[in-house]
Amino acid sequence: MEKPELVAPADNLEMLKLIVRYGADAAAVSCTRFSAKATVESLSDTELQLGVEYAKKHDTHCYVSLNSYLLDEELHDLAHFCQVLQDCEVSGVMVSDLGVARVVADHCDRPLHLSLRSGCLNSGAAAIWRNLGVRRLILGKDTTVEEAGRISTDSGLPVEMYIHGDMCMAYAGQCHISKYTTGRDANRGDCTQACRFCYEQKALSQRPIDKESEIVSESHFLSSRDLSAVDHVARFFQHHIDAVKIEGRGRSALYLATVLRSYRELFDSYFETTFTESTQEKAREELDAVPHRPYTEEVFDIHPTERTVHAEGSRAGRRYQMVGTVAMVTENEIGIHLQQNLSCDEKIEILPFRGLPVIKQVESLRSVSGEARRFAERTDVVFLPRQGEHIEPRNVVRRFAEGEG
Amino acid sequence: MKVTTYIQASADLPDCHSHSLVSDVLIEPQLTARQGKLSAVAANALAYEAAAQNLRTVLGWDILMSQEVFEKTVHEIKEIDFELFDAVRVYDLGAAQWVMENRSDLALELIAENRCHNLEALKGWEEYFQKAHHPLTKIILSLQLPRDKVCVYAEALDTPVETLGAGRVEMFYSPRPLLQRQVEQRGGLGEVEVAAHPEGGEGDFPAVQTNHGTLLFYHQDYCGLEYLQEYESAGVDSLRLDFRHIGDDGRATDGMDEVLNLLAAGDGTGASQAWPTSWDSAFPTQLRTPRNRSRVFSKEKNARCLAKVISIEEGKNAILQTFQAAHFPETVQLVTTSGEEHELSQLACTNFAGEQITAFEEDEILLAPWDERFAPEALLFAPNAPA
Repeated sequence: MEKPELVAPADNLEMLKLIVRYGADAAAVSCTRFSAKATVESLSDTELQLGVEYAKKHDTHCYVSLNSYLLDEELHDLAHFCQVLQDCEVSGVMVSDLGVARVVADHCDRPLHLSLRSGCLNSGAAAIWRNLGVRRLILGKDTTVEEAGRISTDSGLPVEMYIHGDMCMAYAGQCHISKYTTGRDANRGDCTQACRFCYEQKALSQRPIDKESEIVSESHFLSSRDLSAVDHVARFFQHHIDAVKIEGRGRSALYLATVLRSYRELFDSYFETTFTESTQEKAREELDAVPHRPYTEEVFDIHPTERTVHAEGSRAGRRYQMVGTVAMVTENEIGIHLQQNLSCDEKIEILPFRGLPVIKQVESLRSVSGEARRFAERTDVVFLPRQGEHIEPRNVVRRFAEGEG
Repeated sequence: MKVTTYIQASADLPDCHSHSLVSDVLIEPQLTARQGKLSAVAANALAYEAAAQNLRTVLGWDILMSQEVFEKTVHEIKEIDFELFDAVRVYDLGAAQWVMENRSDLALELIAENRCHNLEALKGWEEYFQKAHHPLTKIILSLQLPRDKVCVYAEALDTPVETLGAGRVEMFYSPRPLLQRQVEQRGGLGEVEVAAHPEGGEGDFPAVQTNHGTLLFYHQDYCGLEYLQEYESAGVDSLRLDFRHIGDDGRATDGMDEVLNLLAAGDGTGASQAWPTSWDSAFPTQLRTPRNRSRVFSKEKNARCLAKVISIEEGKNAILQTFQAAHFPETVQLVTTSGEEHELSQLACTNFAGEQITAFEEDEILLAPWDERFAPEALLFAPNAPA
């Protein structure tokens, strides 16, 4: 039995290091020059080089996303960028456009992974992409686990599936609302998320639906629930899915650490045959505690129905709040770089890379220069006593957010 | 310049037959087309009638197919009599693969709507099908391409190209039945179409749920007929006119006669004015996601980057996190979050044990003496190498 590779996104070098330590088998990164998400931070060439080195040290792959729809004038720069990919020895390059795939193949020998944005959803299409040199298929979020397994078997190509996070309502790459309404192109990383807007639905004059009133309804009918695969872990093994991916670009360190820890635990315990209902229950509790829309799992079984729509539009779950990250650890102290204000007497949880959270009551705080503090502000680095807990730099620190949920 | 149009009923044929501009007719079975309305039997019959009137019959197969839909479609497609069709127009590459494997006699047309916004991609598809011994007979260019690109590609490609002359603009294609409530209100039968108005937005977007999911269209049609001469000069093979949404009697050519008369007379502007709905000719060129969109992250962490200020203790320290292993140079360049650059000489950094640091590893936390120009997120760089 092979364990699927767990892939997670990284917007910057810090996040790359964080997901590597929290158990990702591979990091999916995008680079400043060809980011598929223009409004999200991405890595410079130097950061990519450092990131790949860091990932390699921890036996983690690094895949570079080039899945933006590039224009003619950008392909020349891409050829130069391929040398960076080659020099860094990235583990794979994600493409969605044959023009990009051809330039990459001509200028470096890194394996090509086909992005879901290419719309490859069946074994016929997979056969063509295989002939064109693709070495892994990243399947659309509308693909069931069984279908993914069949596509892999029929095409002979490894497949990767999304298992957690945001979903587009449209087929990947098939939504141009943002482009036509604002000029901002979702396929070039500049989506306005028009699917999350509320829409009034009216009867068309020549095709009346409701004779009594023109407005039939008002809802977020284009907004999808979020994906979650807690109850489907076994099936990824049974159908020989090669890689599973978390959606999370633009998300916080708390979100990625929580989601990664949960899925790392789920997949490892299934592989090691220690998987129980309580493993699932724990993961469910953790995943409910980060910001998300209501989850759906039905897409892993059947083609998505209207039950996958999140018509109400608001986000659920927000029990935990990011406090900061561990910046340094000494024998007696833990230095935390705060992202939120912190006071003495608060209860915090430090998320180790593996194992149970370390729960601490903040009894005292001191500043970098040694002054005792009752209160510290966001961006401060503060120290609190350590009592032998196994804590490492980059551990995420969170707290229970009262009144939210 | 030739015209391709959709037909849905026998009643559409006289309009096509009477205009020599119309060469190809697209026939869309429910089985294979996003907006297909015809049973296989009806599609066969319509193809038979169209062929009898010397029209080139093209089977529309523009759905995207999950593996299950793909298997079901290729199983049921045997009901289509391919002998009655001159070509198949595909979007999903799975459909192209099926045609190559099963109907090597049929002409293949590729809808290059997505993943094809550069010449390299289009040439790639042209070459792939050529090498597979099933060369494309037409490439349908993306509506998202600006007009000048359509002309450049028409000239550069060996394969004839088609672009949308006028018609509805599909903005969104989902496999999910998003108007199911409305379908159920109608007794669960047939297609429904509503107008969806986004909060704070302009115009009502027609939305339709079909057997293949939900489509959403822009509130205005696209009409580029005024550029007829430009397209002709560039060698665009054909323009597609889409009247499917105009009439309400099951026909797909309502209003076509007047538009074609004007086009035949070379009057593209007149044809545009005769287009029967509200339209725009400009939006495919309004791309506002420029190349290398500049971001709020103004300073790239390059090979000279030494450290980032992560925190300050006003009047006392700045806390730095090192970016990569390096020696501390005598002078460093501070780049503030607002982009200002300052040179700092003899910056005496220490570790938390108070030892002065001359070299450091990646990810160390160091202290620098307070300077009012320090602020979290500011970056320290080694100076530029002398020219």
